[in-house]
Order: sequence, then structure tokens, then C-alpha cells
Amino acid sequence: MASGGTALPRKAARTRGEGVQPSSRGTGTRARRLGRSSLRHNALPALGFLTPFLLLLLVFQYVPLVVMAKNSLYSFSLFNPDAGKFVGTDNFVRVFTDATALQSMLVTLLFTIGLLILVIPLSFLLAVYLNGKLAARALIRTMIFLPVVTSAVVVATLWTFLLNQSGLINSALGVLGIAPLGFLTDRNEALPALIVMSVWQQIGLAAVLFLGGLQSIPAELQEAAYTDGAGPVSRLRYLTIPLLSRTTLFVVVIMTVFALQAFAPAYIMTGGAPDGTTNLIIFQIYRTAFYLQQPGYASAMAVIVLIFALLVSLVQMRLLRTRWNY
Amino acid sequence: MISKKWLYGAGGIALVLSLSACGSDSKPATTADCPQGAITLSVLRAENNGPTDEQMATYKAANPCVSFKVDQVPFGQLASKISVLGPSANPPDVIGYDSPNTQSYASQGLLLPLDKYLPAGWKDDVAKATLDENSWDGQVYSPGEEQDALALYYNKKLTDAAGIKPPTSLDKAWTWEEAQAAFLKCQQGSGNDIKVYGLAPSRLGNGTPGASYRDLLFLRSAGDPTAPEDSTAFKTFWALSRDGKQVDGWLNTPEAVQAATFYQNMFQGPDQVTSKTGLPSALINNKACFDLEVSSNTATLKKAGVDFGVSPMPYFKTPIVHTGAVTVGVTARSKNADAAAAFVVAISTGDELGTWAEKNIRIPVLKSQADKSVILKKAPYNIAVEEIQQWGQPRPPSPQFTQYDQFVTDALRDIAYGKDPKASLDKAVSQIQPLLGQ
Repeated sequence: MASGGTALPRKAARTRGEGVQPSSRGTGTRARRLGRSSLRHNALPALGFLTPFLLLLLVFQYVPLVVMAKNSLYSFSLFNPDAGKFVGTDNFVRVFTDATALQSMLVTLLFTIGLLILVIPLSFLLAVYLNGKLAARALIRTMIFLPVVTSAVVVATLWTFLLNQSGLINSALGVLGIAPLGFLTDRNEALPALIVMSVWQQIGLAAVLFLGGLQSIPAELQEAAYTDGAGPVSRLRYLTIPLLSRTTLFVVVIMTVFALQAFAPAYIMTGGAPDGTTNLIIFQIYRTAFYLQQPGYASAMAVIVLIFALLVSLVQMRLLRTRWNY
Repeated sequence: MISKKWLYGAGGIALVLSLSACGSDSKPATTADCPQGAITLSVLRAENNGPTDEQMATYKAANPCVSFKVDQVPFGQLASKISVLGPSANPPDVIGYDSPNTQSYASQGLLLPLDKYLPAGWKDDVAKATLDENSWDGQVYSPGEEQDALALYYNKKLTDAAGIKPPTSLDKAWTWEEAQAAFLKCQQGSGNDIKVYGLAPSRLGNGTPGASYRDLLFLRSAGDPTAPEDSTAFKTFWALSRDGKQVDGWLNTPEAVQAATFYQNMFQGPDQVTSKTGLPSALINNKACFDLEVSSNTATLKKAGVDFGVSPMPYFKTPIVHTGAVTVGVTARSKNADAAAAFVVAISTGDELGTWAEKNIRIPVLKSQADKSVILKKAPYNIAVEEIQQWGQPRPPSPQFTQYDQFVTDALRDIAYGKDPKASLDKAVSQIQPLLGQ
């Protein structure tokens, strides 16, 4: 059923494309000329509209990237950048031999995996729930989305108070007769605590994205499946989940990038402690550049994170590429 | 559609404006009142720190041709901001910064030496700890304004209820063992159910344990500066070799490990007297009996109406407090170096310093000004003043202090959280040692 549904729109699209093809050589040449003229005619305004933003992109995104790549080949301090020394790929070699940097990468990887494992299924279920007929639906959606639009610093500060040794959560556990937990100070609990906080913060965004995906699935497909006798679980498994694969891919990539970029939890809640178990890579880059005064080495780490993020996104897109259209 | 003429016209105007901006005279504009030209000094400081608005207003009143443009950031972001703006082509003229960073900044050419601007006799008048801390390679980079030191503040209501009478003079200061016993006696509850802590959690640094300003004192006080120079007791006291090139065998001595183990036991186990995480205003809210705080805490406690007392900093073998406070300097690349230096020296010397210190109840770095103060000779202020004079030591001076501070703080925090003290200190040593002498 679903595969049949996928083939048809693609064919239809090709047919539509063929429909605008000129029927004779003369007409075709004229059409091509008209097209080129129209393109030329529109190019200047398009360029005018795009130029400011392209310039901003260039100045604030790509130029810094190039500068960062260049810096990664030098050893210098921020205090005295003029005294930089070209070290070639030494900074990159050092990243893979520095126990702190390696631990930081591992911590970030675990943080990313933990976040994805929790946020994807939970946000999907939340979206399915929100897609139903609920009383006060708008209010519930707002409540769920509120942490997303709240500053990461505010969220991290709030959770620091919640998770403190004498915080609200430990007080609640105390009422139940459970000994206080070292959410931010125990090496086995600190990273999971940061993951849970980040899930709480990001689940709203993921749920809204899934909700958009759910609402764009044509109702006829659900009705057809229902008519064919498919139950709710079968419809979810064989219809909804496959048709949401594009949304899922998008959510996975967005959440992966968010996890790789996470900074506030380590900076505000734990300072990378205990024993480096929450030392997320962006925080380590920040420390290396500003506290340890090694911006060249920090740039090398940043380049590696950038390449890693690109590779992970490519692999995810490959593995999760959609086979379904509607 | 925009015509080519318009485009060329707009481009031409932009070019002319750019060129005129580039070619503008950077010399200060002269007026009848300011024949030498009016100058605006740009100032970068931490929030609620010097140079203060009051100091700038006083200076401007006496020097109407100088005005100020202030940029301020939270204290935690100050060092990062200085490291980015300081070496830039357009740095702030004056920076307020944490004095232990002086050697880091000076050795990298970020600060202007101020020797030629300082008044005659200044070196004889300034506190030795200030001179040591604010000098590099024989030159003075900041005159300093105030000194500060930690002391043991206590909530009298709670200590009286527990029948504890803390010492109020330096000669009767507690050892850490005596202090620990008092903390435990005053504490209400134990283990996982502590209602009132013996010692308040630290709010210094980022609010977690380990800030070297406070917690390195545990280790250093287990040393002895009068012991032979090759002894571990001597090295423990200094925590970094005197030439700043060796940390192995100075920070991780047996005495330091023993002190670190004692420190760790304050956070867990049967002798736990404090919390691993923050508890804001614990002394004010009757949630802690004692607190290790700087002298500005006096004003906070008075404002809160707390009945409190001040006791000297406890120690193991040698009493010690870290000196240093926020200070002011001039950036080496300042375009108004002379005017900036004149301002910095004016607020840091003479009667202007004395007036500011007396009004704000701060401990001035100049002995002549400190001696004039009546209030600083009385309790509770006298404890910090005497501590600085008799026990004061700068944090280990080094061009790599920023890095040293970071790794030592990490190590002490991990120890507080339960990591093996020796392993933690060894790790810090292995991280710091390669950076020294770079």
C-alpha cells in the first residue's frame, strides 16, 4: 500500500515536468531564449536581495571558519597572538593523544547518544498524544514548547537549583525516605542528570516537528488503512512511522547538532566535574582557548568537531534516507 | 529597479565616507576649556568592581577634560573578555582585573609598566604582597587599590546556642582540627540529614568547592616556610617553586595530600560539615554556623541584620591567607596611555585612595593610608587587616597562574567530590608542569 503510494506521486511529477516541455524545435528555442532572458531579468533583483545576507553569512560564518582552520595550524596565546608559531598538524595530533580531550569527546558522544535515545521516542509519543483530540490542546503544546524558547542559561541555572544536594528533587526524595543523590557531584550520576535536563529542554522542539510531520500525512491513507482493517498499532507501525522518516531524519540531525554544540550544562551546572565526566567538548574548547590560553589547540578541536558533525549528519542521512513519499 | 547611476552613486558615497572615517584625526579635539584636548578613557571592569563610578566621578571633577566610557561584564567572564580585547587594535585604556593575573598579562605584553608614573616612595609604602603580586620582571604593572583576605565568619546565635566561643585574635587562631570540632558541635544533623551545616558551602569561584583562593590554603597551611628549602614542608607552603618552573614535588607533597584528605572529609563521611553544592546566604538564613568569606562580607551581614563575629582563618601548621583583590591597570596598546596611567595612579595612591577606602571600608594597599584608618583597627575589620599584615601571601605568582589556578581548582573540586586526593593532585601536576616556563 505504502509503496504504491510512493511510486505514483513520483511518476506524476515526471509527467508534470514533461508537460511543460515544448513540442517542436522552434518553440523550444524560443522558450529557452525566453527562459534565459527571464533569468537574466530576475538575477539582479535576486542578487540584490541575497547579497546582504550572503555577506553576513560570509563574514560571520565562513570567514571565521577559515580563520579557525588557519589558527589550528598555529601555537599562540590570546594575550599575544602576534607571537604565533606555525606547528603544522601538531595540534591535531595532540587532540588524539591528550587524555582530557579524548575523555571530553567520549563524554560528548555519550551525551549525544543518551539524548537521541530518549528524545526521539519520547517526543514522537508526545506528538502522537498531542495530535489527538485534547481539551486545552493549545495550552499543553505551549507548556511543552516553553523550555525550548527559554534561554539555555536560565534552564541550566534552574536545574542546578533543582538538582543540588539540598535541592527540590533531593528534598522530594527525602520525603519518600530516599537518601539524597549526588546528581551534580557523583561521577555516575552527573552525565545522566545533564542528559535528562537536555531532554526536558529539547523534547518540545522535537515533538512539534513530529507533530508537523503527523499532520501532513494525508488523512486518506489512514482511512484506507482503516478500511483495510489495520488497527491503531498496525497503522502506527506500517503507515505513520515509515511516512515520518523524513521528519525523523530531520529531528535526529537537529538533536545531534544540538548535543554536539551543548555548552551551558557543563559551563553552568558542573564546570565539567566530577573528574571530567561532564566535560562536554565545546566547554573543553572554551576552557582551552580562554583559560588555558591555547586558542590554536582549541581551534584544532573545533575543526575536528565540525568535521565529525558533518560526517555524523551524512551517515545519519544515508542510514535514515527516506524510501517513502506522499 | 535600481538604476546603475544610483548604484554607482551609493557606492561612491560609501567609499568617501569610509575614506573619511579612516583618515580622521585620532588626536583629541581641543576646546577653550581643554587646550590639550578632551579625552575619553574606555574602561573594562567586572560588575560591582573597580574602578568604580564614584572613583571616576571624583577624578572627572578634578580633571574635567577626561571622561569615561565603561564596559562591564560579570566577574566570571572578565578574564575571557580581557584576553580577547586586550591584544586587539582598539583595546580598553583601563582594565579592572583580578590581581593574581598580573604576571600572566604582563609577561604577554598586555599591560603597561607604570613605574615612571608612580610617586616617589611608593614602593616603600605599599604592602609587600601587593608589590610581589603586581610586579613582573622588576617592573610594576598595577599599583593595586585594596587588599582582602578570608576570615572565619560565624553566626553568633548558632554558636552561642552550641556553647562555642571562637577566637577573635590571631594568636589564638584555631587549627583546622579545632575548627572541625567546633563545626561538628554546632552542626545540626548528620549524614544525609543535615539541617544546619557546620561550615557554609563556598560561593567563591563558580559556587562549587575547589576555588584555589580559598581551598588551596588548606594545602599550603600544612607546609612550613621556615623549614629547609629542600624539604617537602617548605615546598608544600609555596605550592609552586619560587622561580615558577616546578610544580611536581611542590603541589603533591605528602603534607599536601594529608591536608587534602582532611579537606575531603569535610564534604563526606562521619566528619562531614559542609555541602558539595551551593547554599546561598547560608549564614544569613541560619543554615550554617560558620563561613569562610572575604571582608566585604561584613557589610552584607550588617545589612542583613545578622548577629555575627569574625575569627581568624584556621590552619594546620602555618597560618596563611591569600592576598590579592581586584585591581586596575593600563593596557599596553592604549592610545591614551599617559592619561590612563595618570587616572590609575591617582585613584590608587594618596588621599584619594584613603578617602575611597575609608568610605567603602576597604583595606588600602598603602600602609600610610591603612594606618590612618580608625575603623579598620576595630573589630570585625581588624582581623582581615592583621591577617594580611602577618599571614598574607600572594597566590603562587607565575606567568602561568591562569592555567595553574584552573587545574588546581579542578583537582580540589574533584577531591571534595570524593576522588583520591593523591591521584587528583598528581593529575593537576601532570597538567600544569608542561605549561610552566612556556
